[in-house]
Amino acid sequence: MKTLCMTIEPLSAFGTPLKGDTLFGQFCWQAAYDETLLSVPFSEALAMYATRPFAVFSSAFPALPEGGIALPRPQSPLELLFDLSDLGRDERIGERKKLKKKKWLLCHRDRSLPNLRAARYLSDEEFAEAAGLDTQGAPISEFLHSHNSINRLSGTTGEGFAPYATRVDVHAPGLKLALFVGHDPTVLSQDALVRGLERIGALGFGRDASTGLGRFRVCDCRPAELARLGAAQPNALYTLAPCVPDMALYLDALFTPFTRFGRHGDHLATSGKPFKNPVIMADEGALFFPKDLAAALEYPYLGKALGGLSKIQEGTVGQGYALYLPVGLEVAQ
Amino acid sequence: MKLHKICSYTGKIILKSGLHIDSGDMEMHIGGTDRVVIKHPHKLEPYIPGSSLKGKTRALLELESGFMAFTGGSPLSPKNLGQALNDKMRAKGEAIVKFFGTGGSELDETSNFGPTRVSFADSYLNDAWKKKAKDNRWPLTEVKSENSINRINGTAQNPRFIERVPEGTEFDFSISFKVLFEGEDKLFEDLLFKGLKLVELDALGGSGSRGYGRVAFQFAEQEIQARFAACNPF
Repeated sequence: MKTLCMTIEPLSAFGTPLKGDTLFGQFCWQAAYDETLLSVPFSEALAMYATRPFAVFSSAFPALPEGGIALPRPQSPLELLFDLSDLGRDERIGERKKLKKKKWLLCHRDRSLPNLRAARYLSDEEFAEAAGLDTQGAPISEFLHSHNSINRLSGTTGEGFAPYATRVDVHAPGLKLALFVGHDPTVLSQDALVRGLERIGALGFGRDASTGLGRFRVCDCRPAELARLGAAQPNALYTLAPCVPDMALYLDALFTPFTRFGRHGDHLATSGKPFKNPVIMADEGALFFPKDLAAALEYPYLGKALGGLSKIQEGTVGQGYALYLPVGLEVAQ
Repeated sequence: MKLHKICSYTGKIILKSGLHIDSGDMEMHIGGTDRVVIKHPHKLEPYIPGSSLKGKTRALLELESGFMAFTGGSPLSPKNLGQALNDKMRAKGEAIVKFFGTGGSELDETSNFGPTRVSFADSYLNDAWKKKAKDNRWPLTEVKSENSINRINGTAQNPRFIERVPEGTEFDFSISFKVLFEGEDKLFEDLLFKGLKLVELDALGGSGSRGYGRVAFQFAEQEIQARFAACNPF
């Protein structure tokens, strides 16, 4: 499997966060409608997905100029990432409040990540300054968008006026996002991958795409070697997308559970059963400590394929895989 | 069902009168404008949401289709198609449902319309126009004061302040649709042009009966513009 680092630019608000498993699902619909995207029939690609995934998508993360990427701070207790041992009780409480705001782990697509204790963490404000963004708040903010419907006869919102608001994510103007994609070049070429993503960006990603949400542009695509971006002496794997790990392979794990109440896409979204079976996943930014590190590092991804998700579409698969960065973190055994 | 192609249309929406698309702001501002227009949350510049453009285009096409006699003003659903008075009316209704999409609860077991074909992007301010406005120090929005006049004593009452995007403002639009069956490209282009023509003849946003929201569509490609200009919605 080869890994690429893509840069995308959001062109509108998003109704669905750009998470790896959702991106994979949307890409599958592109492959289902366009048989030229994959070099094998789509049904064949799905059949071998559990043993040989043709694509593994990371979530999209805020990018900095000159190749910097802001990843979510690892899902671990603050004391493991920051040294607070020299501080008194009151100072420690004050410092913890400050450190909680440092939500981003800074990495670089061309440089190795130091040990997580020595890494640089940024708050929203620090990120905005480093990225040269013209915003005081978070790089990605939530807003409410009000809607109503028009009575076709009166041309007004009329009787039964029922406005409703939907939550959308709005990226700071000028913000670009970094996305890692692992792909099997014998099944999915780089050109086809970019073409599929450009199509998703042109028609809209996720919820309410037909009314303007989820537009993006692919700006750049270059090879990336995640093993080289990670720490020189790793002992853990930091995930770049929600995943379902095989816990038998790990000594320990630090993660935040994330329940994916998935929906079918495309025409199945308006079927009698639009929802898939829910899946409990480990959200991105999780840390897994493998029993056999060398064996884990043989593959650029961890986790497993998800099956049995749908009551109406046999053979539906979900991305339980996640690309990872090898990281170093000292943890008392 | 197979993706044959994606048809994309870009161009400018030029305001021929003040436009008010409400933000749905629920906060009270003492001494402030009563109703403000929707703005980009970071840039604070007005824009036309894709949902407003899609909704109005669909509403006018449904009104023209003749189905409104059966739906009571609600959006056209596949369940209404059986009430068509003739084949032509049914074909119009089916094209609308395929093009604009429908909710799952509105489908019956035999429906097979496929996914929503069209995608309307949000229309943001045109860069050249924005520069022109900045250079000339034109405001991006204006506040129009309105009142009503008591018919007996002839004096004003109910004063209110409505924010609008001024006449002359230009937005960039982008509309795409998927072609999943041979020959649907012509069908859907005709439907789209007809819908946008109806929007030109009607109005976008609020207070259309009082002169707000007159717009003109100007396509980037001349050939497409010529086809659009030749379209007669009736």
